[in-house]
Amino acid sequence: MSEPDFRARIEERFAGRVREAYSSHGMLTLVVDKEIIGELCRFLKEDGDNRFDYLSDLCGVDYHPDTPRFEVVYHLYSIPHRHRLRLKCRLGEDESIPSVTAVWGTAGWHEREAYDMYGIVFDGHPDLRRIYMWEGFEGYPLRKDFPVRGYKDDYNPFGEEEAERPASQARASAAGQHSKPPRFHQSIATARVEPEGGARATKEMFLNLGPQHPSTHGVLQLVLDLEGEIIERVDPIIGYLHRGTEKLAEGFTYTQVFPLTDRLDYLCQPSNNQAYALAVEKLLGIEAPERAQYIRVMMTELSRISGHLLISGALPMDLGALTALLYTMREREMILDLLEMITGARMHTSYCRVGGVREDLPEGFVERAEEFCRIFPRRIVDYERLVAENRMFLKRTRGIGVISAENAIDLGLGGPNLRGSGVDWDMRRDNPYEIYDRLDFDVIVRDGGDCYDRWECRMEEMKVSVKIIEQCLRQMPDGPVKVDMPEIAFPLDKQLVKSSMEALIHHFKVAAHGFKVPKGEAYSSIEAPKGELGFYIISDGSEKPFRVKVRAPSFINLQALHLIAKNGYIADIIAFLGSLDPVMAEVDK
Amino acid sequence: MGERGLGLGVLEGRFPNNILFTTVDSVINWSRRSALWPETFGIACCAIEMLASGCARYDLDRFGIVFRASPRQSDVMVIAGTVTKKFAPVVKLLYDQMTEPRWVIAMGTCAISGGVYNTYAVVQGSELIVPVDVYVPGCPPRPEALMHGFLLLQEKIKKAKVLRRPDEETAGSA
Repeated sequence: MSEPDFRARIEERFAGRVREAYSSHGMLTLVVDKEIIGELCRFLKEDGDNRFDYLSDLCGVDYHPDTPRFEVVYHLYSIPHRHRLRLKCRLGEDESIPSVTAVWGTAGWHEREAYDMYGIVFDGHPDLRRIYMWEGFEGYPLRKDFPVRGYKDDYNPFGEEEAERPASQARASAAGQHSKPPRFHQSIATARVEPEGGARATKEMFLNLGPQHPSTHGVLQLVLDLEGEIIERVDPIIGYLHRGTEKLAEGFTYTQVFPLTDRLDYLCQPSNNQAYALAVEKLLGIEAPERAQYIRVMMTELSRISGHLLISGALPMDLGALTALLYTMREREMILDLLEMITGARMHTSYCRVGGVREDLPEGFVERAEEFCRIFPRRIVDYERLVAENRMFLKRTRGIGVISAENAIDLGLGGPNLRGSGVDWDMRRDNPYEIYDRLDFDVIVRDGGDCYDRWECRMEEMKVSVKIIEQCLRQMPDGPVKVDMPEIAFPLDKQLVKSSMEALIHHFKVAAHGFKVPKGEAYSSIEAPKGELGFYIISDGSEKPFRVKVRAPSFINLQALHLIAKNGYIADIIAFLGSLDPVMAEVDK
Repeated sequence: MGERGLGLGVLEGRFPNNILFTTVDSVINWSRRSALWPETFGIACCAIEMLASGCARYDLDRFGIVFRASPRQSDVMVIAGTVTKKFAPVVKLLYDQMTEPRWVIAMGTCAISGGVYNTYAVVQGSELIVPVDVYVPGCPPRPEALMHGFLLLQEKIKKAKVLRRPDEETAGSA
């Protein structure tokens, strides 16, 4: 359906309730009354011409001191029709908004996040409690009147004085209550849901897995409600690695945010850089030169292999077969060598820049990369022999932790987790960005939806990535690697700074103050190794972003754990978790 | 953070600084530094480099450094990543669960000072929670840097006075 038709249809159905409709950087945006949000979302999801069956992102924005203060932004996507839509609702400080958890299951954690960070209350949410900060934390960190350094306490001598805390941020709490986090095992109390009628049966028990557990892939706490060996309910407690990336980004210039994006999904840094750069470029209305796009795509694919290598070795390790990890880490070192050759860093590359990449590929890189592409496919055969023919591994992953295609879409899963459930959706092919439309590659889909299929998807995707890298190396044209815009990027020829006064001034301005980005908002997402990685950036026209929202795929993938763990065996929780492949830094941001 | 013991109870720090006890101490220190068992305890990005240090190419095992999954069995805690306020009580608890003697390596800028994350959620340096012996800077430090950190820790252990009185300078003066 064309955009005017679509608008007319919405206007007709919800007459007078749609305040505004405009197109912003290629995405249709509707500003609607908060009362109709539930009904509208259901209509958009179920209407055959729209089928917005996938909620990409939901976030809060604070426009303090404007009124009404808050805005809730929904990013919708339609997997059958491959189009996007943005919905917005404004609401005041003491107002609440209907929850959309009944429409999309994935909204559950998104709404909890908005509640935790902004204090926005969602009516009808089944489990609205803090998600990143601990229960008892005072204030809502992403509100504009909350200081980035928080308030002074034992752990943070650099915070603001508690006395200066405005009344608007304090939560209603008992006088003298300290906002220090509890010792972790006490936090079970918040997770505990007593059955109706009081006392629990004796054979039921709670088990606390984590936060320090060798198999939890970082600092994740799982509170398990057990009936014998069977898991009745699992409550992931996250936020142990919540570092305040989004708050910090609001105080940084656009270029300074790159290192923060590195540290989100710390296994696949170049893809994070790429997603963020694309969002800022969208706001600026520029595009990186062709060569830079090839380099970015190639690096993202390299990092996809490195991320998949780690997890495809770690899953068997968690299940007791340590050997595979030692082999996959050997090949991962080869990729880290390549990344180090390009960027000088093994892990946190920060290589992309707005309008290109930092510098051109070093001499001798192409040969090294080709050598890697020659060696690596043979090594994959080794892993398959080592793991995929291992009877123990098959027993513990086949038919275990099944997610149906319908549930996968409802929960907003992405990447191999979605494609392992038989949903044929890959943004590299379906909404191509950069130069993916010039490449020839397959999208790997498996139908079973169990742990083994997700693992196998990753193995096959590594082979596809090798093919993409080979094509990039072959097709890559010569030319500049960043845009020729002195007010945004450093000059192509660094020597110019020494001879031209104007170039020197621009260089100084870009380095010291950054560059201004026109007022507006843009959502841009890529197919990251873990799924759809999106950046929603609002610019107020200054050098620093007004709001950066990261649509973190791991955060959303982890939410599926409660579904697949239900009625599973406790020994399998490790397989469930490993096959979902969450990276906690990205989950917690 | 109270006084730290060296794990020998009543015998600790009671003997004179003479040739007998110098030898005993050096044997104890040799055994301790040759089998440093760190906890399998990663927090963030640094944990991946810690993992890489233990895997095929770098192979920490050749220094006698073998990762143990339980704090009860380990001697060294490598704080590999950002310690948040929510996580700080857990780090403290894990440290308390380790038996003496125990050492702490703060790996990476976040663990050392909070690094770039000077925010409402992050502890500004893990020495606010546990006593740190070796700081390994970097973001994240390369595996070689972590190895250097372990070697420095071994140097530190080598010099420790276990049975001998800590304040005595010259041998035989008792």
